[in-house]
Amino acid sequence: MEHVIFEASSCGVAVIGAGHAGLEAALASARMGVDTVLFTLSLESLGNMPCNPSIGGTGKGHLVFEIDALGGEMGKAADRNALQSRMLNLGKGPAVHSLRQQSDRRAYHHYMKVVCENTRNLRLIQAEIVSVEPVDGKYRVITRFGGAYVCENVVVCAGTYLNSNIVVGAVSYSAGPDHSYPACFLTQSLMKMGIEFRRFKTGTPARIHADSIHYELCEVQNGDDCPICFSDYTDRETFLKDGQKRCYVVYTNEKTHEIIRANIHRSPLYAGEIKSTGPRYCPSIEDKVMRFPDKERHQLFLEPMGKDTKEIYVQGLSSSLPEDMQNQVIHSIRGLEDALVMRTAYAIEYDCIDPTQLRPTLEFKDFPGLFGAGQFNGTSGYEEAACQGLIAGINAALRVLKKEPLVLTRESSYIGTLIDDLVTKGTNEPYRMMTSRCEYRLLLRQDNADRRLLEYGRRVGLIDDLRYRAKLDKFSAVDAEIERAENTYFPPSMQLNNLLISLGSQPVSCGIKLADLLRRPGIGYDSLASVDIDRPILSDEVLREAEIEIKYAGYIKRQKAQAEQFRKLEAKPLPTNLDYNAITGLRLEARQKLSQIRPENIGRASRISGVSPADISVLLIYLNMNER
Amino acid sequence: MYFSTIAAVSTPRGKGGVAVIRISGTDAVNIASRIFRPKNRKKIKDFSSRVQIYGDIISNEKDEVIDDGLLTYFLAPSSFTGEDIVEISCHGGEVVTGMVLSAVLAAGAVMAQPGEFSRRAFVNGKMSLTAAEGIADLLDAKTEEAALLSSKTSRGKLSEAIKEISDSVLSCASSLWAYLDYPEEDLQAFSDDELCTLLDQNIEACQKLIDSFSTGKAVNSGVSAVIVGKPNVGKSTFFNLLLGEERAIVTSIPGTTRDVIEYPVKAGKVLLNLSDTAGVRLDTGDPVERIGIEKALTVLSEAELVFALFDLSRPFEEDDRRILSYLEDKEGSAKIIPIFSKADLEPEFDGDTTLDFGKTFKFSFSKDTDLSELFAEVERYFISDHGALRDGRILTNARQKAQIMKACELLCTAREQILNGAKDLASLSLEEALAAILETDGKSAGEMILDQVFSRFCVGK
Repeated sequence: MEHVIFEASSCGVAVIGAGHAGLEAALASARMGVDTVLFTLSLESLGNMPCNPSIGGTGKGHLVFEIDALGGEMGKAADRNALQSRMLNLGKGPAVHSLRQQSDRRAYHHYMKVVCENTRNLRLIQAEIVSVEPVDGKYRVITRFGGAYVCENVVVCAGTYLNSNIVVGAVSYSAGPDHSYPACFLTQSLMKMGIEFRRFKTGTPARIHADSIHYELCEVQNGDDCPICFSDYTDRETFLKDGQKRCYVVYTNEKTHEIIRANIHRSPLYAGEIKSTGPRYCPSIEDKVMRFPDKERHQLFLEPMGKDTKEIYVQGLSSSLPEDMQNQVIHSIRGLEDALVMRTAYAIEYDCIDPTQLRPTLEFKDFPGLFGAGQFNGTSGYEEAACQGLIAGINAALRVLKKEPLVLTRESSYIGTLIDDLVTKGTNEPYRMMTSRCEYRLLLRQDNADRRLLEYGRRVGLIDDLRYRAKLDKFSAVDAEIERAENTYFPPSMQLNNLLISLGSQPVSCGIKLADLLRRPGIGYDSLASVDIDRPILSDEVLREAEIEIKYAGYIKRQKAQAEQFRKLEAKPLPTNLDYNAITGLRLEARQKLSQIRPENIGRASRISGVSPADISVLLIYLNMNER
Repeated sequence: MYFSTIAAVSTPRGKGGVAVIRISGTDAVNIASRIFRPKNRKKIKDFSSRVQIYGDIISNEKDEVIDDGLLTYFLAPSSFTGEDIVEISCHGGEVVTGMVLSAVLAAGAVMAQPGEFSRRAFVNGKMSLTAAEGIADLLDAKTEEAALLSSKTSRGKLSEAIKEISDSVLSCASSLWAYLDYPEEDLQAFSDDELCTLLDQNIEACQKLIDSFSTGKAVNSGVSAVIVGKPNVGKSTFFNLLLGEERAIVTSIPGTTRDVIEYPVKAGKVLLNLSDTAGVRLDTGDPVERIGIEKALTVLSEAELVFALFDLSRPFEEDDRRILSYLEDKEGSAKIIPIFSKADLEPEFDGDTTLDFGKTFKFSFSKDTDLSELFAEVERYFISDHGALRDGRILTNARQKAQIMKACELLCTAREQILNGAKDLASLSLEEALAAILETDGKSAGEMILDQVFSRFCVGK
């Protein structure tokens, strides 16, 4: 029978894939008033968490707060379906505080599906996209069943589905995450356009049955007593008030490591069957054991997959060893001797692009209107995917609306840093966000994400009047409180000095400013309540932000000056026709990288890996000499 | 893009037996052929590169012979700038060199900007930033030791020392990063104690480099030194003795020296920028002499080394006391060496009980006076680090010193922050310290540094 292509429909923005990137892209675009279609291979795997059942973590928590500040969905969804909430890195300084929530995987999926189904301008369609063809400045997007959609913009959020392959020991077969149906046609279609692909690898650990764990042999990890939420929309009064689920900690031991070492030849990774690049920061257990032979034990976390399910995720035990070996490894662990394995760990290989083909808007340099986001761009993680989806979706919609694109810079946000890293430095492994990637991290905290990004969200139309005004009120409350702290003096008194002594701080002999008290180590608003009696009634968030701004004022000022310096280099344009090969002072690698990436300005050039500061000096002098 | 061919006189201005005009750029050899005619009627291109060619230098416009001289050319990339270079040696003197340069410019070259030869060498990958600074110092070097030190810097001894520090700081920073980004995993390579120990080591290494700067400076750019004393105490005689030639006017009429003369002289390995000053006298009615005295006091206030001369053959009087009070003010900010002159005559007072500035010297100045003891004392004070001087691990310019000081401060801050538990701040401080250290070696050079480095070069060098 003949396969007939039929004209199905048209739209302003088509989003391919309904994972964490695709959801944010489609929701943003539809909410901005643009006619949007969201394609997914299966409505059952929309918003799926095929790996860890959690949202947030170091660096990733920042991304979720920023997504929320811009008007994205992830923070709301996480709060609504949270099982446990924990602020990581408390006591290491506010810049690195990072929120992580355990999440109910199925409930999260269901929540997202309902949101999509009830969003105006959004058509959610189950279909495999087999080809994308540029036609007259638009794109013809064709489904497996022959439906052709004419789309002004296309956002590819294919995740790990492209030509994906699951590997367990000697067994290898074509499948997407969670053994779903893979997308085996799209890569070829995009390659035909000239887009370059590479192959990455990732993996996920086993899931075990909750009742088969010896909990008395595990360390307990509880949620915070006062759980924090991601989103402005979440009701603080009711958030996680029904109690939180526990996580547990167990450890590998010498026996575990022996089993792995004795059978390493059965690991497809070591036998050379997996050749694609995996993430260094999230190694499989066999990798950890082989690469760090001195380590006596490795920490593992047992995390609940949901409220009702008994499935438990074993974080830290990602593996592609054959199933019998996996079972031996799990059973060698104290507390898991009798564990029932419900899902076997696997490695998955997939196609993704080299993100240096993209602009900071996440649009392909060579294909206006074609965007990429998420793991398709070579990243790893739900949060990294979601924030790219949001930016790509916003920019696709802005293109339909004929408005200026949205580019977030490094000093504005973690999102800006992530995208800048991707499009200027590229990545040789699945890219994960980390606090240390952000040189401006003292300015880019979770607590001020709203202040940093609200105006961007407002400008593109994702922040409604009500929320906007409430936020402006909060900002002025913070400013007013800082002002008050700088102008409130406490005279030396018995009460004050007794308090200071009890807090381990020096007593005072003359009057002291509230702000100066707050700058002392170990002193905060909480500890000063008894002397600071004129304090207006303020929310915890306002006090927290004011306290950080006051405590770190000196450092913040310093970073702001650095950010200013940064902006100056960003403002130094590089000619697009510059022949880097003619500048022999540049090292060969720098010449190649610069010719390939063609950075827009000196600042971007300086961040390309393989371009050293000395190369930048050469460029600066070269430009100077040509100016004369 | 295309770089013009540049030219400049690359020997110092003023008189001198020979001057060198340097041309660099793709057109260098062509331009040179227009103004240089080899004696044996061959063409320049018939000779191989790096061979000296004797011939006439002619004015292209008038076809007149200006001078005769030697020409050598070097082909890219094997030259100082990495471009084609022609060097023409002609006779010295402003007039001849000026005419030759004009001829070169008329033949198509462009006048080089200050530091442009070095800049091109840098752009063409012929030298690193530290090496570039080393060459700047070499060109400025006034003494043999300075030249030797510069060549060691050129060879990267300082880079080595800096790399050791930056590698170690990087390991600290990465340990902290791991700790912050993976709070639930046991990834920190160093405990807090180990971190502090490592930071202490690096702080010490930085401190050593910072300390080496005074040695570097003493050898390289010199120490400002001044001779003070009441009139007719023998300052100018001493000055001439240091110089080894007659320069200041020596008379026995008090108040003869009315202006401040400064001259570079060597005291052992230390380079002194020595000022001779007017005698300090209270009762002068001469306004010119009074101006001289005021100048002397200004010079004195800025000096790092003071030779204080006292006449042992005359009583210790009001003028001496006045000088003494200045010296007491200066103590701590400068090295003061008391020198008692006219020691061959009957002493009028006991020098060592009157003054308390450490070692004193007694001289009766004559042509044969042996100053080696005095120089040893100067070296003892200004060259604190002979080891560093020997192996070249020494900071010779203020920019490098400022960078290392900044890094050192940041490392101290980071240490404190680690102890206070502010790890987020500590990680930032370490990153910043690293950037500061790397910038010392030009590994991360903002425009400011480049401007600073290259503004130190003079035309033609």
